[in-house]
Amino acid sequence: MKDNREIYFIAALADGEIKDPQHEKKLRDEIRDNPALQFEFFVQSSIKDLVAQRLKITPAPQEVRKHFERKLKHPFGFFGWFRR
Amino acid sequence: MAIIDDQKQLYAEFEREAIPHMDALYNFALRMTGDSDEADDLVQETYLKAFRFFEKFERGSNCKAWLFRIMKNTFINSYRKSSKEPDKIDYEDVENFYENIKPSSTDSAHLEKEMYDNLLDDELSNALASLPEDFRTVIILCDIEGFSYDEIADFVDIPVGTVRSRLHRARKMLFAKLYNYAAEKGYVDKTETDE
Repeated sequence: MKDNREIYFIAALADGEIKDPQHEKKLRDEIRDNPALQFEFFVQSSIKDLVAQRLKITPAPQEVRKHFERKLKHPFGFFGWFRR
Repeated sequence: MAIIDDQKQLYAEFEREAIPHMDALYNFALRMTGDSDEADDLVQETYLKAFRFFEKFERGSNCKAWLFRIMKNTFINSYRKSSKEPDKIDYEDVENFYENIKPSSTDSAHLEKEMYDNLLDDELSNALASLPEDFRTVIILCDIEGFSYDEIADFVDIPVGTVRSRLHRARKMLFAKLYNYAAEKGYVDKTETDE
């Protein structure tokens, strides 16, 4: 990699965010031939997968959701409501 | 009568456009503040502001990104100082970690099994919470919320290249932190690095 910033594209590769197919192919070729870059790609892709699988979205508590829905339907409107 | 009808229409539109994103917003709030009560308040404040300015929301544009922008600014202005801040990782330490990690320890199949299989969800949450705010933000938005780089750049207000570099660094920081957890518990050999 001639440019140090090029290494950041390994994150983009893991995210499917490289828009130029030629660029993607070149990067994949470089990774295939370089163990250090293979490790970089492993870190990026495995952490992405780990976070996506383990840290799923925590739903908003029902009381918060219901509070809003009640307020939106209230005859005096949304602005009658202030923080609890 | 027409005013009441307009108001009803506005409420209906807000309910349709904005309310479905509440879980995503709450999740972001929880991970940024580290406190469920503060997350509740941050969500409520965000929705209150969003409703107040809903007439200015450009119809047909990305409502979720618009709400996240409001939340991020509200967090910066009101919550950042009070939120619980665990000990932060220093990126220079992380660079040292990667310089010192020995080739024998970088067998990815071994690491994936020993590190990740033994990792508790709470440990991962704590490691994420220990990232500096700018880095934590991009991980949450990209890896948990599933935003594209363009969307993240739009509402964090940074160039796409910065999104890319922050994500790259953030994941390296997270990996280093998790490696240390695994080493402390004996799942990987701590002598493999010079830390």
